[in-house]
Amino acid sequence: MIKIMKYNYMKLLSDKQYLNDIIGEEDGKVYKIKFRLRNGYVVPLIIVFDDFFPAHLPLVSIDTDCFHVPKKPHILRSGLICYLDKEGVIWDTDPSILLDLVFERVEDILLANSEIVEFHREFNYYFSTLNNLKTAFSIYNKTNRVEQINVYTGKNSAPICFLADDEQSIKMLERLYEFKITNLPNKALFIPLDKTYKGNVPQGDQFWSAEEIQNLILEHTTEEKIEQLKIYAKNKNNYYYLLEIPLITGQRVTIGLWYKKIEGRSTKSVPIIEYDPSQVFEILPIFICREDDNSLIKRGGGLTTNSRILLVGCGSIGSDILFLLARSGIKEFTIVDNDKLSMENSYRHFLGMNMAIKAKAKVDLLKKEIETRYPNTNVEALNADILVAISNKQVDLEEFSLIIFAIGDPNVERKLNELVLETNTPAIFTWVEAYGIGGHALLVNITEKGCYECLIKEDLSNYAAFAGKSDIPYTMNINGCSGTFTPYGGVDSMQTALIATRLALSLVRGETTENCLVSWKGQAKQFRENGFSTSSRYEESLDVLENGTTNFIRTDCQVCGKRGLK
Amino acid sequence: MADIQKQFEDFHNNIKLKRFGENATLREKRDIIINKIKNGLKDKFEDDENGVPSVEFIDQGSYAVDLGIIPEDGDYDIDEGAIFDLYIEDYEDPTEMKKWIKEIMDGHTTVPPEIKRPCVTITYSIDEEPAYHVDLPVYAKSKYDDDLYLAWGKENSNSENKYWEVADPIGLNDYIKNSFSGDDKKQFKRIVRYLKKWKDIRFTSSGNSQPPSVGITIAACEMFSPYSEYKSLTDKVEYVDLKALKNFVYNLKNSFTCEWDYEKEEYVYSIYLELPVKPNKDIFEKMTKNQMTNFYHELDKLYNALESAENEPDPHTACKLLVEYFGDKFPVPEAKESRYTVGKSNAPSSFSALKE
Repeated sequence: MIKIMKYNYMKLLSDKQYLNDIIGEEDGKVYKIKFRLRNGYVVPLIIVFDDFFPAHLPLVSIDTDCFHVPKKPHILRSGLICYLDKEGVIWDTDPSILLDLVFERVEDILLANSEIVEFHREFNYYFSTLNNLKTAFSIYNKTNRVEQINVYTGKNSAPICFLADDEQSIKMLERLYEFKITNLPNKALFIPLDKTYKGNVPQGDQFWSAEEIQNLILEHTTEEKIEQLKIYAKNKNNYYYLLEIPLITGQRVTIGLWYKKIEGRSTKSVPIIEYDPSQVFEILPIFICREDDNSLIKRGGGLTTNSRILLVGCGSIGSDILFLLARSGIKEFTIVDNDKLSMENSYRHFLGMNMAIKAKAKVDLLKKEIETRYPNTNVEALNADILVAISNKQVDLEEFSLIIFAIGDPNVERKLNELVLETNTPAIFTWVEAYGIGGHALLVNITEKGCYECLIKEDLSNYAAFAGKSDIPYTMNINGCSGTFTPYGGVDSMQTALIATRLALSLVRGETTENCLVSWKGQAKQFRENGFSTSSRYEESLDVLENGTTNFIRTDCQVCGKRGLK
Repeated sequence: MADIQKQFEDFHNNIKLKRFGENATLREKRDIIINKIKNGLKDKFEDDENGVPSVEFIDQGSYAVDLGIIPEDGDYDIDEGAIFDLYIEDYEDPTEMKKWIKEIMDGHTTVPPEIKRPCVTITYSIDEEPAYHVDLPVYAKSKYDDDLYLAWGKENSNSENKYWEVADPIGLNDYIKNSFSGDDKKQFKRIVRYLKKWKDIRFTSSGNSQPPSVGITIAACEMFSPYSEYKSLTDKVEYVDLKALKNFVYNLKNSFTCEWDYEKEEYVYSIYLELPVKPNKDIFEKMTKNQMTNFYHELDKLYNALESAENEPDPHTACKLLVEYFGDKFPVPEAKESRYTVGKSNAPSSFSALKE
């Protein structure tokens, strides 16, 4: 039970010099007020508090009994004033100060005068208030050309999804719906407008007429595009359009139109630009949910790229890296691993127990999971040992934009390092240390000097390591030999996957331009309690460790040191 | 854009001459003078063989066309044309009639009447400070046409500075009065008054460095267009003085011609605007190129200020910008900070991440 604070709203409101004629019950929550704007106008309002003020802000609306609803952005037709986009705002809980915030914002909205700009800024919102509005989504990646595309329709030919006329798009639609799409008989025209639209934003019962739409297209599109449109004249009962309109805010908005023929002669036409009063169409606006990749990835903070990534090792670190990269917009992967997902490691693996119980190859399980989650991602799964796969030419290291090794086997990694340095492909080696003392990601083959071999010191210890040299292995054994494991937790592998993925993404973005070693450092208490000591590198500052260093480069390295001498 | 129309209208109320305030006093003084002159002429010419000269008076200047503003220096003025039914051909010395008026009015006020080049000035003072003055331009007729002629010159001017010049004070009044009608005319009057006030604030009042008021008025007749737009807050089409003024200033500014001054190594600006009635001379003829250039630069600054005010979303900030140009009679609404104690932060939060 939440204790409800009781406020004397009448007094709170009466104390405000800018509010007059306050009408409401003494201990009520609804008040009529006259709000005097600073520029002299007076606007009658209704303010409604709820039990949770000041955690909840009061609702403020125009008092429609004695005032019209101004056609202004953020004022709904009901009169409700949407005065605060709560996102990112923490307000003072003092009720009097909070009322000032409320009325300051309400005043902003009532004073706003560059109205057309504001309407354009909220174009999608106003468009979504249209009567008879249909909703469809689009996975079509827009171009700047007039293009005939597919529209996937449902009952009564209602549009469901706009997509490009190519195999990839159809495959993505199939994956999303999880059934085979055999026939897409309906076509739509994608029309990107060229000139900025400066007119009214349709809303409520005020949609454009056929003539207005025709003018919209003709006045904002190049003649060349109009000519192209005419090529697609058809004789149909349903015409679909996807329009991209540049607005005065600089944004480009995508809307759909559905022309349903009601009566008129059968003739080939492009009704959107051939207004003909003898033909009667019902024109239905379509709200477009942009599910195309560019929009989604942008929203997800990711990047669009054609990068193709080879991920070797699909254990706890590798599986997290795959997941993080897919989330970031990378779409092409080849994954290599020859292990099955076991129950023992299911807590620190991305796939978890329900997948581990299947006892299948990690690569196959991951492919399925990632492609289901992100239907336009392609994962090529190779259930093989990487060295075998390379020597069999199943894998050609040159084919990739980046290789990530997350196998945690220094001996194989040394060999792989040699192979990588013979190619032009950059690679990241990543591994985690025991007891959560840290993890590392090493980027090589961007610049000439600095490679995995540089890390291997003469005494065969690793330069990067936070663990001091020790003769005791860090592995633990619970159930005999088959149960050998390095003690670290899911957060440690995930933290390592994070630094490796960040490094990969900064490389793809072109922000990282040289070979470097990045590490994260955790607590050493448990590690030391188990009888181990930390290395001198463990004492280095977080700055040096996290920002990436080139200090590991050895000029006398047996592998990269000889480069350039060839 | 800040909606500061109410502030403009309040400003207008603050600066205009009120019909029942200052204007009434001026009317009173005018009527006293008219009567005194008429009676004085009767006394003076009672026994003259040609009889008593007949004189008619017409209101002139800002009072006549209702474009007056409260003067910065507190010296109210009214222009009253004295039209003698006499022929200039019979009065070679145009200062003769002016001298009659001076003689008649002498002793009426503490400050003696003064003959100036275009008129006779009667000054009323309060506590030895000039409080009102009445300027009386003197006109006579011609035997050969229907025009009126203005008497130029002081008593002691050289003969070349004493002359009759054709003039059309009635035509000028009509031209200004008929330029606009209805509510458009009201906006026109406000705009002219705003600029007159601006002129008082921004130019030193000595000499001709101030552009003449009549110049601004005539320019407004020709270059001002009424401006109104739909306001959703009131659901009405309303006048927007800020935009109307801005547009007018823009047009006025663009009517200057610009040339490169090789000596000064800078651009000099000049403006030419013909009086729409006889003698059709250049209204700005008395301004030097320097003064015109200064006039241009002041207009330019005003235009920029109006534009900034237009783009400023906050009414307080917008009005504050304009005070520099129109003086402290321009009202400034409360600042946001002084009205609202707003305690909020824009601390980044992870709401958007949570929304997903």
